[in-house]
Amino acid sequence: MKKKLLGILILVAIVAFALSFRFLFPSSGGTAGQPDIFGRSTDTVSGLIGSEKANFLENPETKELLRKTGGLQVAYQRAGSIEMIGMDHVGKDFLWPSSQVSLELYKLRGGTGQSTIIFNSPIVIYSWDVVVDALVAGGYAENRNGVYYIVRFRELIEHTLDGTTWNSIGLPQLYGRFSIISTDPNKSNSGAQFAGLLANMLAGEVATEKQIDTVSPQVREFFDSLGLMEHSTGTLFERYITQGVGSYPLIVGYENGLIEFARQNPDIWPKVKDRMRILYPLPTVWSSHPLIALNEKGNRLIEVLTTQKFQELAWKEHGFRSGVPGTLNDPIGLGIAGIARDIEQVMPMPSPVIMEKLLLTIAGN
Amino acid sequence: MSTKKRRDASRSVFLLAFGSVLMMMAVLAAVSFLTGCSRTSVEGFSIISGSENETLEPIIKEFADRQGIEISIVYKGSVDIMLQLKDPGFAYDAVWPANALWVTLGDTSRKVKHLTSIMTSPVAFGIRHSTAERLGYIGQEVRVRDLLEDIRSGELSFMMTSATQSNSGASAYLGFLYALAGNPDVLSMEQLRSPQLREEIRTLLSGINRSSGSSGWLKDLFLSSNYEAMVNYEAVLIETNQALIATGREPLYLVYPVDGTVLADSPLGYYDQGDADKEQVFLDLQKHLLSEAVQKRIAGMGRRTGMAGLASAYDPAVFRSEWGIQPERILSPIRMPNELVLSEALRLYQTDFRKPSYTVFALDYSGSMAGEGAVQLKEAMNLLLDPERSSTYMLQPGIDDHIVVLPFSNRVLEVWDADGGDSTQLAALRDRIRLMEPGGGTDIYSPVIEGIKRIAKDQDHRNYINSVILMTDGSSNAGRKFKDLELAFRDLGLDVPVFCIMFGAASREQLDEIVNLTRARVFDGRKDLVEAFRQVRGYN
Repeated sequence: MKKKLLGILILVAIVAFALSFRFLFPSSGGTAGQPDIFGRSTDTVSGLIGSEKANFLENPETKELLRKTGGLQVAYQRAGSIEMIGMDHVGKDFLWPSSQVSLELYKLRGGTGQSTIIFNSPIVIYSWDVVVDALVAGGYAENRNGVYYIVRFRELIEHTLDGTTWNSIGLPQLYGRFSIISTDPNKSNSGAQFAGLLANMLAGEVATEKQIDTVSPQVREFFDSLGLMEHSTGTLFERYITQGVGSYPLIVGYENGLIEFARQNPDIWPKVKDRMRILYPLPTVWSSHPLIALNEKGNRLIEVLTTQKFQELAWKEHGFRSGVPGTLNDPIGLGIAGIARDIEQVMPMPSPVIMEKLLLTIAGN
Repeated sequence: MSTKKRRDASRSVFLLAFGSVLMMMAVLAAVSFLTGCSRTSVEGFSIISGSENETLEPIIKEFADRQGIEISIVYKGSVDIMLQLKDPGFAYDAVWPANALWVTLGDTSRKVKHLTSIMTSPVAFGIRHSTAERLGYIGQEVRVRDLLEDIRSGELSFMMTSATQSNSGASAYLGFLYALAGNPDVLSMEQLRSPQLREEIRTLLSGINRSSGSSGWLKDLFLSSNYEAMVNYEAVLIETNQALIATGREPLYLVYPVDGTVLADSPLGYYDQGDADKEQVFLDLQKHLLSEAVQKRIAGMGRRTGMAGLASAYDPAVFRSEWGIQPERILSPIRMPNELVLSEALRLYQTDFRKPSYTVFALDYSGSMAGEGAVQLKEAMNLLLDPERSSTYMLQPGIDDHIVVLPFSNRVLEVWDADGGDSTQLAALRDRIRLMEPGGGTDIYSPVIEGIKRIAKDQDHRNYINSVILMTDGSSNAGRKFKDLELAFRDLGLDVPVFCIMFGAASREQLDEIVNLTRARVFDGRKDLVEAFRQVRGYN
């Protein structure tokens, strides 16, 4: 009898303890270094990332899935995609820049280790209904099955340099000269990618060593005309959304920016979705997100992130297209109008050496 | 074993077990208490903000009360916010300037994140309705050159904050430069250095009759007297009109120069120092401010809300069309120049373009200033009069400025002066201030009367922004009285503010009398005298 009583009491105590433990330290997908409720510990994998992936890594679903399927937990620090290659990698297990150029730079500098493109997102132009209507009327853009493409991209780029006004594009309500606003190419990856794309367009092909001296002054002129540029793609996108067509008629961004914004701002999205437009330039460039593993832990992260579940989550919630061959990214399930099923006419970026030259010219050196 | 023994044993086991459960619960309660049972363990959260957001403070306080946290807000000018962001010892959790520009310029270590605009407000001219009518502005598209012509012919004068201290002044100034340079995509160095631009911008800025370092205070000054026009945020101009109407006065008509529009976007950003709990508090606060109900309330305060730059739900009783406000019209603001051009534009404003200032410093050298007081006073004056040091704060003397220094105790001890553009004279003035030693009683009125008399007789006062800056650490106990000052001030009939810096045991009452008479402001220098001097310098 007393044994039974004792047993019940101990059981009650254990349950009470476990419950209060849960109450005191609610599980939020595993806290740093702490074992989960079944006593299994998670490994922390540390690295440097381009800030575009921060929302994905902060997503509780991502954290949970990482812990469940890989026993991993990611500790990251944001850094510029080019900057991170030259940084101190002590204590780091991986690098996850936002461009293929970074990976090539890493290899150029003798870096080894496994690397895989986890996600891709094309460079796109964000705009507003009235602007896109005018571009379509002017023959610069076309609506193909609900997706807008810039079909005379080179001409539009030339208009940013030849003093064409908004008025002559058919938008008398906008003041001043026609322009496309980008982030600072020397501070932000989307700006750098756009600089590469401009150089390609002006060169008529992927800009080569020979052509870069001719085209880079024009690319610089383009960026000079933008004045003070934002340092981050996210900030530019945010200002575009809040300030609208008067201040930001056309901006450069990543395709995934729109999908992520729509998912994360369910209150704001319905108010802007009928006015916002996404334009796919023909051609465009990919912003690739290669993960460079610096050791075995980094390899484990690659393995986990390339699984179907992660690829699906990244597309549906954050708009990243899969880097894994054979994975479909169906825009229909997203419920967001204007997203292309496939990205056609993608140009490679100029080589890292050319890009370095180009960025120096833009910086005024 | 007997029944009793068994009962005893079972009771003791029961007590033991029950006791341990109780103890465990007590331990848990203690742990729970120590770690804080509420959702957040954050006790204090601090924001550095532009003065125009002061109207929104009740909204923040309500949020803080509901969350059970203390949110403190410090109001500073945009330049100050930028300088503080540059400092690695930045002491706030969030930043809320009038324009994201100041974060872009100041946040060099890229610590600010989640930067999101809470509302917008364009910078406009608020002009007394009858004046706007006389000048033919009602219902018309007005360009900067139209304003320039009316200023040139003496038809229009206006109040504007300092372009190097406050965002509304900087915005208006940059808008002027773009319009006068013929609306380039972005302003270039060459354009800034054009002689024609210099002549025109100097003429335009000569129309300024009173200035300040803060947009909020400029509104109070405007309401305190009978001024004609003021450059400020649309939101502040709406507040001004509400106050004017409440007192039966004529409202202002808002003019938005079409070729020089600048928007304040009031972005709220988190300064990341790795505290996840604080970050959560920030995100909750931001979400609260952006929620539909709060956005509606903010719109009711004359701020433009709603996405895509469209005032989605504005109240026509607030954004009144008879005041010239058209919230549905698309505004195409100027594009900010790059950092180098921007810094050069602000430097030129401070040293060359702005209306020159004639400033009389009345400095207390009475006996009580001996020791720390004199040390701080000398340090402050050294900072302001050294062009190199003061340029850090964009407060360097302009080439046409004139500075008079009147050291006093129970009488005016000396009269020293220097031209702002003469570095030898400035150096000599710094030396004199440094070498003078305190002693004697206190008469604060004599130097102030002397100061305003000098302003009246030394120069054509219309060509300068005039002011007296009185710094004192004691109550006036000798010589002249407030009545003497009142008489002299009314006799001269000039709009010369006497700004007062309070130090040591200064009498707040005496200083309040002076600033009320002259429509100026008291700055508290008791904690940091150098800082107070810096602040007051931004007002002239």
